[in-house]
Amino acid sequence: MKLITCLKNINDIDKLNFVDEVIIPTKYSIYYDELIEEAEIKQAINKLEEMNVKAIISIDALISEEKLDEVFNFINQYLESRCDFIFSDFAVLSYFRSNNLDLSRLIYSSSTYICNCDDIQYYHDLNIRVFVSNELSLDDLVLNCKYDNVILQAYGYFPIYYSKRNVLSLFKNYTGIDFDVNKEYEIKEELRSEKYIIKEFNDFDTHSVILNAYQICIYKELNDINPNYIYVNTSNIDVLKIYYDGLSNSIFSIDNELALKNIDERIDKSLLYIRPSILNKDEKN
Amino acid sequence: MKKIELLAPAGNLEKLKIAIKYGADAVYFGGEKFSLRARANNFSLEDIKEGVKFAHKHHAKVYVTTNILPHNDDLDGLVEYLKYLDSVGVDAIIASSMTIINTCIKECKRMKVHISTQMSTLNSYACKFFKDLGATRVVLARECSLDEIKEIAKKTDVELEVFIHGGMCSSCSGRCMLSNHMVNRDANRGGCAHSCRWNYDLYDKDIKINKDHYFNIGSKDLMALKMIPHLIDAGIASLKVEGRMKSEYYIAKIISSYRALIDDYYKTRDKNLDYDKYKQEIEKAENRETSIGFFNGPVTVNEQLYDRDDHPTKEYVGIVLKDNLFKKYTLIKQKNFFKIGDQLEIFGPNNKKIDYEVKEIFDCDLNPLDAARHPEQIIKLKIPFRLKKDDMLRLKINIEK
Repeated sequence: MKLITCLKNINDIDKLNFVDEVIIPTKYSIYYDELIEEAEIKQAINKLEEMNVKAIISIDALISEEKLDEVFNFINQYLESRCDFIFSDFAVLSYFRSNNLDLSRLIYSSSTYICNCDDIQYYHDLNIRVFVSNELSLDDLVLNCKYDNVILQAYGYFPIYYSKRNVLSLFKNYTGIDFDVNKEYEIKEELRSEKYIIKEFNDFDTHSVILNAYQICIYKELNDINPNYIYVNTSNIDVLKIYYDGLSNSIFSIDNELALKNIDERIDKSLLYIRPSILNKDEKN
Repeated sequence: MKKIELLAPAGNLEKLKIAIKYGADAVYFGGEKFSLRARANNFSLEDIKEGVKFAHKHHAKVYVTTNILPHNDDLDGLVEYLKYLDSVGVDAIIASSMTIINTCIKECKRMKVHISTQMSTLNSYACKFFKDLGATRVVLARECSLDEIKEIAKKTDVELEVFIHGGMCSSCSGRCMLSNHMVNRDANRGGCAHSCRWNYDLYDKDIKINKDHYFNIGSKDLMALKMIPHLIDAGIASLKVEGRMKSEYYIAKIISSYRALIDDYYKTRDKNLDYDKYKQEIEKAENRETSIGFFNGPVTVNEQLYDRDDHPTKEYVGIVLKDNLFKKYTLIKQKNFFKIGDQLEIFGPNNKKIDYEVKEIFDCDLNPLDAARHPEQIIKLKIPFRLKKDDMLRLKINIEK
């Protein structure tokens, strides 16, 4: 089992020497906490290479026709570097194929689409790694993670809404309320108590993202799921170390899980133990 | 140049027939498995067979939605189901799962694959990917602008389908899990709770930002009348109307209006058509706010749904059950309340409208009624002109107003 995390701050890169791979968010990512500038991306890749940690460049946004060349030019800059690429727009896969590039450098991450073994097999045959959906039950995860190309997000926030609408700016325009649209906010549905992080992005294209209410925390279940790769999305080194401890010892203990709860209470099991419903036609709204 | 296809939703067999009678070149619907819109009256295997037979008899095509993103348990019976669809003559499936797409390509001799809008295809390179995969058509994402659609059409030789009317997801299709996380209903397996249309408060830490308005992220519905000539000229293969959950009246009004617009443009090749004429007809059935969506580029507040004011339309009051052949009484199925003295407008697939004042209403046994009160009640009216099955009655003026 290998450990993947995400670079939150360029100054923290030295602390990540024990992980296997680090995702570098870019302005072509669906979500990032702070934008890492292009000059810093090369620097980060080089630094990670020195540390013997693989870099993964995230370009997982959906790409409009007019932005294709810009994104392909961006990819071209890093083809000689030791790095992989996360994508969710099939234009990227098509570009790699058209140019006979190595498909094994690609990781498909749509957050929602990879839900069954047969779909995973399709990417396995192409030698492409995939992020498995975050909305699966434990049973499905156990089955899906038998494939060695699967990455499971074991910790942290993830997008549950990805829109090409700049919903914060639009609301500001509609109401005339003065607030900074470039900050992170939270929304709460009128009848529910949970708050969901919402953020708008305007660096590459315009889009908005809503994150899950609680950080997912899959830990003791890793003993059963046993994926080839786990993704721990956090800036907290203590959290990363707890996952590292688990995979180094091949045991993900209850004690360590409790330690994770002590670090941040806003964690839960998401839909791991809930069987999602599919409405039957006779069922009421 | 091949004439553009007008593609209509069909929530059930009756709606399929209405859609085709009112001008659709093709219809799409879901079966009981593998389809989103779990709450639509999805088609049984027998319904599918009958629907295909009816459609093909009227030179219309049939596409079956198999656009869920299946979990492991959902895939049972996939091969048999696809082979059945192929055997009864379904022209194509609309799919988004690689497994369903590849199974259809491998197992079905004749049936084609259309890539669902759930795949959020926004560019020509993604279209190329799907064409290489074996798909014959891509349903473009509703986030494409007209300029982008034109550019994609120039650069790809796969057929393109574009949404022109109906509901819009606020999120990129297939990328919204609000419903999963808020009410445990799987949006990508037909359970979307439309959480994007709910009311929210916006917080900066613990401070509530919104005061007099809820924070909303929902979208108005799409209405793209003025785009039709441009899409025809761009070489788009199919124009799609959303709305498998909508009424037969809605289907009839929307489809006949777009049918008229498309035909008028082919006749005149004049982009300065009287769009208000078609809009007025559509608005008789439309009860939700509409906008141009992303056709003009990034959305503005005009495309967003704030302080919504949807109201159910009650103008559709009945449908003719049988050709009346100038008989004294016409058999009608009541769809909404109307009463003696009301002014009705009767219309059919040819869009000709006839005014009619309700002077008498009878039940099936010819007992006089003062009003048609009961939903789905079968009644008789004395209508002194020829009407055909599936002509519709719309309330024009309520005398109390």
